[in-house]
Order: sequence, then C-alpha cells, then structure tokens
Amino acid sequence: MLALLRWPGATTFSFFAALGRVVAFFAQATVGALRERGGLAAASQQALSLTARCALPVVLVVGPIGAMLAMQSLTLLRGFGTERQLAPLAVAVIVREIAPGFAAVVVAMQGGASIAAELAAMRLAEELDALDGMGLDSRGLVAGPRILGAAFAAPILNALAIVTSVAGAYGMAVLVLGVPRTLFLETMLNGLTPLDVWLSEAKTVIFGMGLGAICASAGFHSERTTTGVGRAANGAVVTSVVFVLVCNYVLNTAIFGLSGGAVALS
Amino acid sequence: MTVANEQSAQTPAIELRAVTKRFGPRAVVDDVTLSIQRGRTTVILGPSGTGKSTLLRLATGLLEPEAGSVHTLGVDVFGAKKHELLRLRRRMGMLFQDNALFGSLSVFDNVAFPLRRVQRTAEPEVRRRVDELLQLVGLPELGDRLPDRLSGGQRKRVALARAMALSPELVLFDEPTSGLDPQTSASIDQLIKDTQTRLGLTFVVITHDIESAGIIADDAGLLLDGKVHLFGPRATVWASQDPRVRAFLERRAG
Amino acid sequence: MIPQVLLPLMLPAFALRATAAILRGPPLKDTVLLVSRVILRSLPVVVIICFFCGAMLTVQAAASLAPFGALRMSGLIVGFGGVREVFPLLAGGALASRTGAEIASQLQAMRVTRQVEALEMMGLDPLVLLVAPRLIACVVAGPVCVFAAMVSGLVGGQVIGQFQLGIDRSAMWATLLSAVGVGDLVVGLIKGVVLGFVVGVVACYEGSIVAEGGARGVGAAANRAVVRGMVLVCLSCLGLSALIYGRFL
Ligand SMILES: Nc1ncnc2c1ncn2[C@@H]1O[C@H](COP(=O)(O)OP(=O)(O)OP(=O)(O)O)[C@@H](O)[C@H]1O
Ligand SMILES: [Mg+2]
Repeated sequence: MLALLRWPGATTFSFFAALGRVVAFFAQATVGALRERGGLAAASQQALSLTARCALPVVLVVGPIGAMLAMQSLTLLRGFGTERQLAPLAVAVIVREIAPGFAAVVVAMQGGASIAAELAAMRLAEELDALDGMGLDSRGLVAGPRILGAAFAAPILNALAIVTSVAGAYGMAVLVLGVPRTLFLETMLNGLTPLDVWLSEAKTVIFGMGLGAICASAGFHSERTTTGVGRAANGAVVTSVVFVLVCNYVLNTAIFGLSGGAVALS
Repeated sequence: MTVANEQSAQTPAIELRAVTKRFGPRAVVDDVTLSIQRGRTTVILGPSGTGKSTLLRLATGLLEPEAGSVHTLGVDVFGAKKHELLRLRRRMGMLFQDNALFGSLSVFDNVAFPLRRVQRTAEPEVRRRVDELLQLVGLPELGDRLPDRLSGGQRKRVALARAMALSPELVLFDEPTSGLDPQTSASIDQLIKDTQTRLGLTFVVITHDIESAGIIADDAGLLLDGKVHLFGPRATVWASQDPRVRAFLERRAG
Repeated sequence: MIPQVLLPLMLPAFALRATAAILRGPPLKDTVLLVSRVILRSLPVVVIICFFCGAMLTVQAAASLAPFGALRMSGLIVGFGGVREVFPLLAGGALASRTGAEIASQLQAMRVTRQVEALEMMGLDPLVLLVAPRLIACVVAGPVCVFAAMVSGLVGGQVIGQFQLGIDRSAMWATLLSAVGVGDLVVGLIKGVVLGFVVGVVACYEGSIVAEGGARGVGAAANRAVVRGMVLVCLSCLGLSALIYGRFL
C-alpha cells in the first residue's frame, strides 16, 4: 500500500530531478559554448550538418502529412458545404501546427539520436574525460555547439516543412482531387497573418533548444558500455519527441488563449 | 568433389584451397592453401592483424572468400545449403576472441544455451552438464552472475565452457589465453592439452603466446601478411632456420 | 559487394526473409516476452503523446472555429481528423522511436560484440531466433498502440473541451464521437498491423546489416531505424488512407 503511494511520489520527484539536471546542463553547456572562442562558428557548423541530414526526412515525413490533411479536410468541409475554405484552413494548420511539430519531431529523431549517441560514444571512449583532463570545458566544447546547432537548425527546417507540406496539400487537392488551381493559390494565405509565421518559427527555436539539451544531456550522462550508447540514443529520442508534443500543447494554449480563441489570431 | 561424412575420417578437418579474402583493396587472406589434420592440436601463430581471426571465420563460413574453396569436416562450406551449413556448425565449437557471451543471460544460461536450444536436452541433464563444464573451467560458483560482472579472464573461461558444451568434434580457439595472468594461462593450456589427448578431438588454436604454443601444439603454422609462411609439425617449425620464423619465435623486433 | 543500384531492394528482400522466418517457428517464450515488453514500453509513450496531441488539436480547432461562433464543433474536427489520421500516425511514430530504436540498437550491439556469430556457430539461425520474435512483437503491438492512441487522443480532447473550453461533458463526447464510425476502427486495425510490420522490419534490418563498427555503429543503427521507420510510417499512412478513404470521397 505504502509502495503504491510512494511510486507516484518517487516518479514525480525523479522527473523534476531530471528536469532540473537538463536545465542546469543546458545553461552550463550553452554559456560555455558562447564563452569559448569559435563557439558560435562551431554551433553554425552543427546547424548546417543537422539541417543537411534532416532535410530529406523532413520532406518525406511532412509531404505525405500535408496530402493527408488536404484529403481529410476536404471530406470534412464538403459535409458543411464549405470546401472553398480548404486552402486557407490547410495552410493555417500547416503553419501553426504541422510544420513546427513534425519538423521538431524529425530533428529529435534524426539529430537528437545522433547527438546522444555521439556524446555517449565519446563518453565510452573516454574522449570527454580526456578533454576534462586537459583542463578544457567538455560541456561548452562538445555539448554546447550541438544544442545551439539544434536551435538554429529547427527554424530552417520548419520553413522547409511549411513549403513541402503546402506542396503536398496542393498536390493532393489540385492534382488529385480536382480543386481549382487558381482558387487554391488565391485563397491560400487568407487564414494567415505574418504573426503566425513568426510564432511558428519561434516555437521551433524553443523545441530545438529543448530537445538539443535533452539529447546532449542523455549522451553526456550515459553509461560507459556499448549498450549504454544505444540506451542513451533511445531514451533521448523518446523523451524529446514527448517534450516536443507536450511543449506544443503548452505553447498553443499560451498563444491561443486559455479559453480557446480569446486571443485567436484571425 | 563431395565426400560422404561417414567415410570422411581421413579427409582433413579444415582444408583451404587458394583462398583469398579482401577487405577493400587489401587481401587480408592472400591465396592461402592449408590443410589441418584431424585428431591433433594445430596452433596458428602470427603477429596482430595478419588475418588469423579472419581465417577462422572463413573456415566456419561466417565470412565468404572472394576466391578459393573451403572444406570443413568434409563439407564444402560455400557449396553447402544453409541448413547443411547450420548442421555442420553444430559439430564445431568456437571460442571467439572477444568471447561473444550473451550479455542478457547469466553465466549458467550462457553455457546452457546450446544444450537447450540446439540439442533440446532435458533440464536436469542441462544442469548436470553445465555444472560439469563450469567445474572444468574452474568457475563452479559463478553461475548466477551476468557476464558484465566478470573479469576478463573469467569471461574467457565461460566462453570456453560454452564452446565445449555440445561436445564438438572440432573446436576453434581464438586466443584462449590473451589477457590472462600466467597462471591461469597455464591452466587453460593444460585444460586444452588434457581434453585433446583424452577425447582425441581436433583443436585449432590461435595464439600470440609462443610458450603456450610449445606446450599444446602438434602442428604449427606461421601466418605473415595474410600468407602461410610456414606450416608443419611443431618440431619442424620450431627448428626452422628461416629468419622471419626465428625472429617471431624468439620475440625479436623484426 | 552489392552494387549500389540494388540497395533499395535490400529492405524488401529482408522483409521477405524475415516473414519466412516467422513461419519457421520462432521460440515461443521469447516471442511472448517480447510482445509484452514491446507493448508495455510503447504504450506509455503513445498515451502521453496522443493525449497532448488531442488536447492541442482541440485548442487549435477551437481557436479556428471561435470566430464563427462554432466553438462547440471543435470536437468534431478532433474526432474526425484524429481518429482517421493523426492518432494512428503518432502511434506509428511512437512505436518507431521507442521500440524501433531499441530493437535496432539491441541487435546491432549483439552483432558488434559477435553474439550473432556465436549463435550462427551453434548452428542456429539469427533470423528465426532474434528477428522473427521481434517482428511478431511489433505486428501485435501495432494495432494495440493505434487503439490506445485513439482512446487517449479523444480523452485529451474531452478533458480540454470540458475543463479548458467549458463545453458540456456529454456534448463534448457526442461531438468527438460523431464523426467516428466502425469503419474507422477497422482501418485503424489495418493501419496498426501495417505500421507495426514496417517499424519492425526497418528496425531489424538496421540492426542486422553491417554498418560502422563499435559503439558508434550501435547509435547510428538506432538513429536510422527511427528516422527511416518514421518516414515509412508516414508514407504508408498516406498510402493506406488514400487507398481506403480515397475511394469514398
Ligand atoms: N570486418 C572487417 N572489415 C574491414 N577490415 C577488417 C574486418 N575484419 C578484419 N579486418 C582487417 O583485417 C585484418 C586482419 O584481421 P584479423 O582480425 O583477422 O587479424 P588477427 O590476425 O586476428 O589479429 P589479432 O591477433 O590482433 O586478433 C586487420 O588488419 C583488420 O583491420
Ligand atoms: Mg584476431
């Protein structure tokens, strides 16, 4: 009985302990990286390589989702006789939710896992200890640029995701389902304000920083075994995917208002 | 040439003909022809990275050569069907250089694994046989541990017990004594020698350890740069005046 | 070595061999253990992700509908879009990131430490012994995860609708469920099996192929399994939806 009571308590405690550790790690690593000479350059390097590795997966994941969105929205809108609203609705949903959410999920899966695995392999090979042994700041040198890199790469990939996803929706709506081309193109920006785009980009910066910190911390604090490397990569992916989706909800509520639509941007 | 298993007692245990294996452009095993006899212990010597482990992988069909043929226990390894190859391997035991113990299973379950999964032995018999094997390698009380929690030498001995579990006709040892202290090394050498003479099995042992080679070998071969430099009865090899053989045997920087 | 042009055929070829291995009787005990393990490990992730996604969809739908005074209809969008597309897709993503990564790194670690060769040396077939049980586990876990995703997604929508948007409890349920039919559940079952199979095959393939050695290879295998699994999940979700729902448009 006592154990039953203890479990949620212990879980909550270890959750907050882990959260505190990630936040502290994030601060040390990024501040360390910014202090380091060439830290920003290293971060840009990481961002470029991350963007290059994630670009194709982002396209392949988000394109089909855009197409699916168009297909199901059209079914739904036909029911209300409002199928002319398809393009603005789809584009708004893509910019606000789908692109940032799934771009971040792909960064978590592709980049996050490799950050965690890379750092864990360095931990295993005692490379990190070697850096510390030379009196260098291993967090700032190794983890920091990767975290900042994820934060820089995420908005770039978000822009790519918006374009491909809208292209997917266009392909399905216009080329397959016969929505008039001009109607789609002319109405497509009607549901959107510039602020939506900025908010979408801002969200992905937060996602990128958060998942970068989660994954770098997982790799940095991994167990020194071959299986430890795999475990760090797996744990990092799952935690950061969950982080992205939970964070997305929290940010949405903050943006669109607690009562739903009170601050709606339309 | 196909020879039925029954009448193959006279065929060599392992026969390689003009075998070449490349990794990238480099021939790691270079046009090797070699015949290892049954009922003896053959030691393969050679410096690090000359392709000794690769040779064992070729002999067991774990690696496929670019050229040449391999016959093991009378079976054409790369002409055989998959199930024939699997059946052939059940007649062999192998001690891997890095042990290859199953990390998720206890020491006992590691040694029991081939008995349970391959032979489908009844559980009381498994228990008796595993205890016997662990006794043989001198680890009777460590059955419950996970391999992670063992020292390097203990792991090696568990792997040895597992390799012997199915009472194989042919056992391949990839560096059974590397990383062990001299006393344990000597006891493993003794174990190999005793088992071989008692059961008349065929052992192939890869080692860097010239002293232990001197104790266990009936035949010996020296592998240099992917080629068999010299192969023959131990006494012949040990008496060779070839400068590279002497340099290796006398542990001089060559 | 294999010519470059044949590389795209490797995965389907592996899928065929793995499926054939299932028919050759994988060990029962391992299979049962793996099925329960995969389900137990994936379910919490699926439930958390989909709960918040349902919540997020509801907030978003409400924000879009409020200007038209149609706040109460937001449940419809969540029920319709969520059950048909979003929740199954996320279930597949969760399965890929939890189980796919785990299977790939586990098998690759066994390969790197030569445990797979040790099995082969005992005359056992790793495809039957290691791959088949994992593939079965994924195929069984797929539909379980999809249904769990639907339920927790709808509950997420309900909780937000009721407590955050202040919509009447039964009215919210009614709108959430109004667009969901039995057909959608059948489609969910089909999607679950396909997604489980896709995730399982990709993970086992990435775990079995020869890649970079050592610890880095283990991480890289997990990485590829997740990303390629996710891409194939999206493509097969689209394919299935277009095939099934496309006919009734
Ligand atoms: N899978 C592989 N891919 C590429 N190269 C390999 C592979 N396996 C072995 N090699 C190379 O082939 C050569 C021979 O390797 P092998 O393991 O057979 O050496 P060895 O004689 O057993 O050495 P040691 O005594 O150190 O164990 C080495 O140079 C090694 O780098
Ligand atoms: Mg070797």
